[in-house]
Amino acid sequence: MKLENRISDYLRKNRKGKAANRLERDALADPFLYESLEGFTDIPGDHVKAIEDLSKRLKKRTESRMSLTLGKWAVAASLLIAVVVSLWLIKYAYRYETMRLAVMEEGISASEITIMSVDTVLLMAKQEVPVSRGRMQNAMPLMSPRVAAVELMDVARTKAGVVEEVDVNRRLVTDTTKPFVLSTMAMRQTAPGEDIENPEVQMDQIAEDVAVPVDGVESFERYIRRSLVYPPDARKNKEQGDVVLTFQINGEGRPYQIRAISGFSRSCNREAIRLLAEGPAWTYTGRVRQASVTIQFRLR
Amino acid sequence: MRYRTTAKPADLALLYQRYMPMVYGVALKYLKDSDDAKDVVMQIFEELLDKVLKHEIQVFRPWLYTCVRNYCLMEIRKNSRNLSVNPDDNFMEFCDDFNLDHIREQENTEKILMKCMEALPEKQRISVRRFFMEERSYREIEEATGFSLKMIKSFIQNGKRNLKLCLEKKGIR
Repeated sequence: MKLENRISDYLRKNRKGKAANRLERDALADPFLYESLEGFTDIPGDHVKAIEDLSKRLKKRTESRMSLTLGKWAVAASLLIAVVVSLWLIKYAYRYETMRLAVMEEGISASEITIMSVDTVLLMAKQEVPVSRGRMQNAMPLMSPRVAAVELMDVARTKAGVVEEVDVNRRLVTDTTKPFVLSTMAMRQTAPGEDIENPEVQMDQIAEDVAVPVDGVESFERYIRRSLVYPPDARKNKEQGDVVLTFQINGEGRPYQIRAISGFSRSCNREAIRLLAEGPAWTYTGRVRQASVTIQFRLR
Repeated sequence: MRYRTTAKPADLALLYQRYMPMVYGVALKYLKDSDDAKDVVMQIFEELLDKVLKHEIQVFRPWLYTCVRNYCLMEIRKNSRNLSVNPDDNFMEFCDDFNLDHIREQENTEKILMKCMEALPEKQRISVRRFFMEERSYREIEEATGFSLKMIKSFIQNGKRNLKLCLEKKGIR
């Protein structure tokens, strides 16, 4: 008899009889079974009915899943349309020109890894941008007062203007008068020898809903540097570039639903996903929010 | 596992269905509430849909057990922040099937067994005899002796251990 039937039988017959004894004896060698029997005996209730209920719920769940995925496709399709339309707007409507802002520190070599924070922030940039506004607060502590040069980049990642300094008051001074989207903020490691505040201290100030590696960005970068295995085919073809991953973080701090949203080679995407999946834990951000990280592949 | 190739929830549900009584029992043990436990059983299924595709799983059963336990402990911690839960507070040793039958089959070893049984404290002796020799369930022993279920379990645990030690001393097994 199958174990699940034996359990139901056990419960139905009031936990009596030789079959009950046999199940209980089996449980002595089987912690899973043992603990579940403990649950059934310690907590009163109609367990047989509860299990039947659950079977029904499970069935319902898998049936409704089908329509749910259909719904998801619909959402995805409409999102895609929205994206296409907005891209068109960006291209043709001058006012909506978007730019990408990357913050970097001086004296870095290109082989180093860029960590990006999560948020997309719309800033109406005039002469000064008070960066304490909106969601940017979250990302802000990543930019230390010593960030020396800030580059404005457009969507294609070409340099589109220079933003001078982020001053001590955490204002971002730019020379652009157009609205731009601060979609990703990259923070690079400083060159060795330069004195820098402990980045982990800065991380502490970040509001809880931004995903960061639990042990800090530096340690995460170190992990990536050490563990990255450059895919042989990419090396052979001299492919290099960035892989942008989005993911969610479960209660244990493990990234899941990792997707490569942009990349340049299939094997590098896979390697980036592997690195993230096997890498250090992240702060839990709740189920809904998505985190993202960029992993660079550079040939030396 | 079929689900790994098809990624259809229905396929995983088929498998999960088999373990559901056990998952529910464990959830019940930790959460102590039928409705909470039911919700957790469903939530674990949701989590599995994702996890199963990502993790290398050698044997599903022990893996699932670990998942379930972790999930329940996490759930408890979420609900009562200051209350620390020690998962090992009711730690017991699980070992291979303890079987007295083959010892009882031979006359000379049975004698030794009886001697060892007599050496056990009374309550342990009663419990062990009923459970391992008369094949009574916990519930039946409970009704016959008036010991509480917890006590019976610990009598059986300890009695079993003492008996084993005694038998080993006498060169059996």
